[in-house]
Amino acid sequence: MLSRVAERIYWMGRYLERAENTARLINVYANLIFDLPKGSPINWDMLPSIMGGKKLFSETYSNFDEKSVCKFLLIDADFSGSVMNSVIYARENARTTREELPNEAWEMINELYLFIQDAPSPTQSRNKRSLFLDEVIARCQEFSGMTSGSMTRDDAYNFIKIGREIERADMTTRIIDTGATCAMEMSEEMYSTYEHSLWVYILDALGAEQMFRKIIRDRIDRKAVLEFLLLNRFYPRSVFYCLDGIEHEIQNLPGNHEVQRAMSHCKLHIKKADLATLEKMELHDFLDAIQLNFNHIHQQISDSWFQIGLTDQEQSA
Amino acid sequence: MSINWKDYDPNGFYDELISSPGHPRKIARTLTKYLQSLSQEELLNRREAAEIAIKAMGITFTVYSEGKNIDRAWPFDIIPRIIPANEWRKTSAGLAQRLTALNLFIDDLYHDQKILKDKVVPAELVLKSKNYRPECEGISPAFGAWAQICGTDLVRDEKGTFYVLEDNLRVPSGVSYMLENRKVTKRVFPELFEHHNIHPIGSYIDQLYKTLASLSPRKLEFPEVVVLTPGIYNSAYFEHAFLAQQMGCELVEGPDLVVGDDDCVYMRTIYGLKQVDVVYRRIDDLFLDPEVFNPDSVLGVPGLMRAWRKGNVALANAPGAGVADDKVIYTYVPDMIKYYLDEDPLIPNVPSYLCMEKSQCDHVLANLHKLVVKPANESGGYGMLIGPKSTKKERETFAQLIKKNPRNYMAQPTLSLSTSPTICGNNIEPRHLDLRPFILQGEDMYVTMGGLTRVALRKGSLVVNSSQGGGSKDTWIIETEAS
Repeated sequence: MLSRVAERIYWMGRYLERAENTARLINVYANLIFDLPKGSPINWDMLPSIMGGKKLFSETYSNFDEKSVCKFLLIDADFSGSVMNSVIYARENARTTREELPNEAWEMINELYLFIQDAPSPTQSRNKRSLFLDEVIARCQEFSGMTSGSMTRDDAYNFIKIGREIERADMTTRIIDTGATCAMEMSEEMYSTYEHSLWVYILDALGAEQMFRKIIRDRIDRKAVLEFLLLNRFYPRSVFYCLDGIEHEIQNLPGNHEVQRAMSHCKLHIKKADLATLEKMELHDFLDAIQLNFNHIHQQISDSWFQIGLTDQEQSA
Repeated sequence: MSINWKDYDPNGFYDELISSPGHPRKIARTLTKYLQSLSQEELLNRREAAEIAIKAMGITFTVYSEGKNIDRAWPFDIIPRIIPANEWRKTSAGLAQRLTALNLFIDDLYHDQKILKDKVVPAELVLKSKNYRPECEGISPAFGAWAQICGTDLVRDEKGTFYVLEDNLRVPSGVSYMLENRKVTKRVFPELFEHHNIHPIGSYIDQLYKTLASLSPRKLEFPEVVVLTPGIYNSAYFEHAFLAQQMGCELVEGPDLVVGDDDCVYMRTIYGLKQVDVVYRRIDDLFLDPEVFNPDSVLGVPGLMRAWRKGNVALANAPGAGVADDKVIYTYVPDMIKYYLDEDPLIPNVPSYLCMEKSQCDHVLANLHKLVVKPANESGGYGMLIGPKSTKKERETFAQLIKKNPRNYMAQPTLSLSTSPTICGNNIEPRHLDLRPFILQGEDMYVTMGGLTRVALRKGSLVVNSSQGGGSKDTWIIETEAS
């Protein structure tokens, strides 16, 4: 497979996963905020910073309220991480690799794109937003189901899967980070009242509450949730599960040594942390460090398979 | 109500299926009888079935409109156009003769220029052509073939004689539609294929691969052949992807290829760099290599010309082949055939006037309302003046253009293009058409069975280009004796 095609397919997988997880995050964040008392310091304006768009958001918007944040994260044309842009990029990548994908893959992504273009603005009302988010999530899930149910396990499938898993792992850490960040903002008193709800919310954002209860059977607290979402080897949105998945996909790819190393390094970093003591700022910093590890893995993937034969000059460009 | 061929009047034009109202040609009788057996409703249902098939098969072409690229479904008329096999064999020989002469001409231009020294073709005309590439002088592509893939446009006059309208030697497109048209027709009228001896066309893909592979500098059992596309925004991207997929080759873009220090061409794959032997390039010369041509081109591959000149990679069509794809040079093709092959042309040229010749130019300027004026180097039907349909203002503009740059223009009488029955709205009416067969020259020569028939869907129109309201038809070469 051509490196360019592999790279486009990988990003198609990532962007679709990003669209889905951003939609999940917003959906559940709204639920959390409704549960908190009026005048709590937990506001919508935390979300842009968790999604890496703090600077752009504060420069473009004068009002940091629910509507602005949702507009920014869902349909802002200038924010590269908005759901709309994720879908546009996924579609563009699919469009230029159609000869490598099943016909339905292109059709599904194209239909998702058309849905977003034609849907009534999700910032009009909470109800419209919720319908919009549910539809985006359902369509992304449909795509995942179609690929895993109908694609030959070849290079194309490998790269969709690698893209999806690394993005999923990254988004899981960002969703956990909303918990850490909320905890930092809360007063001690409020934190002791709401900590439990906070971690239930985190599980909920990942659609993991039911799975947690089924597997862990313990009460929900910070340490148990962190263990579940970072280390569990059976729950498909846990970081370790995603990393295991990438390791599986790269087995048959040539020259996977550097990627393997980056993966082991990342796993070790997570394993040796004392999850029981990590909270608030330390937890936030720890999650940041994991995200840097993911960037490193991405860099190794790119160097090993996408940047083949580029001169130094081309690479720096 | 079904078709009554007595109501179908070709109006004095040569019609491919009906010689005069109520009288189908012998070759078309099975078809016309069959069409007559269908009710109007059924015929329209078949048309709808074709539209659905085209959408489902994803047969599209891209048009640039209102600042956006839009993928449009391929416009297709379900009633095929028929050519008798014995007539086609003669035409086919004429096409092979023509491409042989054209390749000898190009090879001569980049070597000894005998034809210029013997003053058969004016030297100035060639050497000043914007498609002449001094960078190609002294190069000898395999088998002397510069234009390995040629699309020649043929038209019939009112007597039914085929004429060559133009030769497309740069990056001719349309062959994928020729192949897809047949598949659609088989779905829509399967019963017709039982009762006819229609020559298959599907071997084109194998022939194309064979031709390309024969050009490989490395003698391998499976040389690495790739299709080089400018990308998704090109109007023929569908075809590029189609041909790559059908031949089982990689579809590459400029940045996928790299020329190494050894002056060989490699493609970047996840398995590392892989050497490429033959590039079927669908990018114009000037964008091919920023080191030699347009330095701003991001579509091309730096060093590609270097690799080609060293003989490490084959390019099809070869750079510089476009020098013979010039509407002024075109007028000399019959002379070339005589000069190189000592034969008479089997297919005539459309009579043409060269604006660079004073007396002919005066004739053109005095008769603009009757003539079709074409610029030397445009394709896709752009930049033309169709005299009888033009306004006074357009004619004045063209007169100025011609006076300013006579070398760049030639003119031809307005042709009485042949027609064929076409579904228009709910009726069947005559519409004008042309034919683009494809000719391959590598180790061997190959001519398609028929070609792509393009039809002007607007009543009375002579413009068949799909970018300007043209459609297409399946083209049947039918064996007569056997039936």
